[in-house]
Amino acid sequence: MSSADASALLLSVKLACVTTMVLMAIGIPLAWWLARSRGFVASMANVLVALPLVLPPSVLGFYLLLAMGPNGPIGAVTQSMSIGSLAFSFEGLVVASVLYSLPFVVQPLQAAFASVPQRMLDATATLGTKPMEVFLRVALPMSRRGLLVSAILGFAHTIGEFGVVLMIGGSIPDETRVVSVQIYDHVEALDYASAHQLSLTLVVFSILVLTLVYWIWDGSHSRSSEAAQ
Amino acid sequence: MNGLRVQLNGLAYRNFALDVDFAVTSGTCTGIFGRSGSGKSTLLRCIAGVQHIPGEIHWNNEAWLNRETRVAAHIRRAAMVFQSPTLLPHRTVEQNLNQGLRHSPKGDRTTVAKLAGQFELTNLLQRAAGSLSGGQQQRVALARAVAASPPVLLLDEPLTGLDSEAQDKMLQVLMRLQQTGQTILFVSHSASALGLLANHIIVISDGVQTLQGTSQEIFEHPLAPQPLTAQAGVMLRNGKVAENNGGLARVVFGDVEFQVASTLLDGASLNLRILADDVSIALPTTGVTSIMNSLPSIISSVAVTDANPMALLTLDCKGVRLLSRITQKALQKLGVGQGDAVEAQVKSAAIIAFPTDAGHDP
Repeated sequence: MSSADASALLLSVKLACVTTMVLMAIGIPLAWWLARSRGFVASMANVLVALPLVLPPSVLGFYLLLAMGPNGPIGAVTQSMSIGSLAFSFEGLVVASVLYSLPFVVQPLQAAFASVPQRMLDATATLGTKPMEVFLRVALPMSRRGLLVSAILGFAHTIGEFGVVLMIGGSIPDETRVVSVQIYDHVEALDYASAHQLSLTLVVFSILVLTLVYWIWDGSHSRSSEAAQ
Repeated sequence: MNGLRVQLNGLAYRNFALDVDFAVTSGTCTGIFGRSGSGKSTLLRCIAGVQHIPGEIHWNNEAWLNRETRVAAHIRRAAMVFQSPTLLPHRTVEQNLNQGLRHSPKGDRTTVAKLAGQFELTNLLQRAAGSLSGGQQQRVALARAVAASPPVLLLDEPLTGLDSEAQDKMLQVLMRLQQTGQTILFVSHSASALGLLANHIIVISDGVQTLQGTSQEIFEHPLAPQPLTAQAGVMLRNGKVAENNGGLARVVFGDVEFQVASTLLDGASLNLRILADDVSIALPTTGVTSIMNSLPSIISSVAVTDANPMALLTLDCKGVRLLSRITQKALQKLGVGQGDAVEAQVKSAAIIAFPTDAGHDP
């Protein structure tokens, strides 16, 4: 593997790690709120969270590029903070990845939170437990498999991104050239051997990740069906 | 006032309103009786503060709910034990108990070991809560609620779904708890559980409170639902076993003796619950009968209503009060009334006996 390939792989892993941390920080409170809210605002929030599932990545990337540009709302904020434009930077990739992978983290979390029986939360509250403590001591531990699955899916999905990354980041070595872009560059240069090598690495990685996810998910389901008996 | 005051009137769900107004004296056990879907559990949830209906709720002089105030559940600390499991299944029994202990005010704090002993959980402390039977889980949930030293303990059908052995154990635990002076409000559609535990009873039908009073008043009330009137009876306290002959104990209350099926030995102290439906009366012309307890008594009162073919007789048996429910037709056949001498007949097998550390006077 060339040093450029290794660097692209490393950048992808770094991007996935940072994105997953941001996703969990945003996703946990958001999913908790969505799991316990009804009404128009919550429905619209659900729609917005799910939007990246149906939109072509290039559409999301295009609008993000505009938003991060000097005339866009995000660009205006970053420029007023003297950060400059986020487009074609690692930070820009993180923002784009967080938005693109949001449903993959929020939806499993939302399902996990919704499956915690309300009476468990109520019973704990009546013991004198404050709402935040009920969340930390009951809701989170009861949803721990959902948390793990969400984090893995968020991480894996970020590793596999291409369209959004290409639109926002381009292909700047060590800055925005992640592994999927590197493969694309290899193919464009007709260097199929290198493309194969990186692609196979991703195939093996994806199989491992999905095996892990299904193993955790099956474990949680068989346990909950045992508990139901 | 000292205790809980509840006045609620409003929609709980679409097409279902709750309308109740009652007070619970501190240190007593109040049973809420009603059919499934009558709003009993909703009422408990409102008192706990996890559901809201317009009205007023006060604990002592503290407002939990009124027009201006709605105190959150975690501040009310009215610990509620639900009918279905609410323990953390992956945590041990000890960790679950600690969840309650953590919130107990410092002065009231008990220990895990003491709680485990009180609720018969000593051998289960290190087991995962999710691996316990339904009855064991309910006892842990009850112990966890008691651990938090709640001002009032709310129990939603604590016996439902348990097998008879688990029910008996739970009943004994609840009877002991009742004697500690813990204020308890419990929901049940089991009239016999109310008969054993409740000092006061509130009857709810389709969300509306229809009756309230002491257990005795409700059980003897002509308009009470049939399962409750079947619980009319007496609790005789602190009888002494004078002799036990092959599982048939002679239990003495002053000048009156009962033959009771019990394995307790001489000198043991017993409480007896005798239901009115299990007491017949006969004219004092001693005929041959299989009934072991034939007790000379005077009819001190007769309660009859046109709506009910049964008559409820209060009997004075040498100072011991007994109740007997017989048909009005049988009363006419015997030709007896208030002030007449009769024999009260009670089957030994019908008398429910408890060691005195478990029973109480309802």
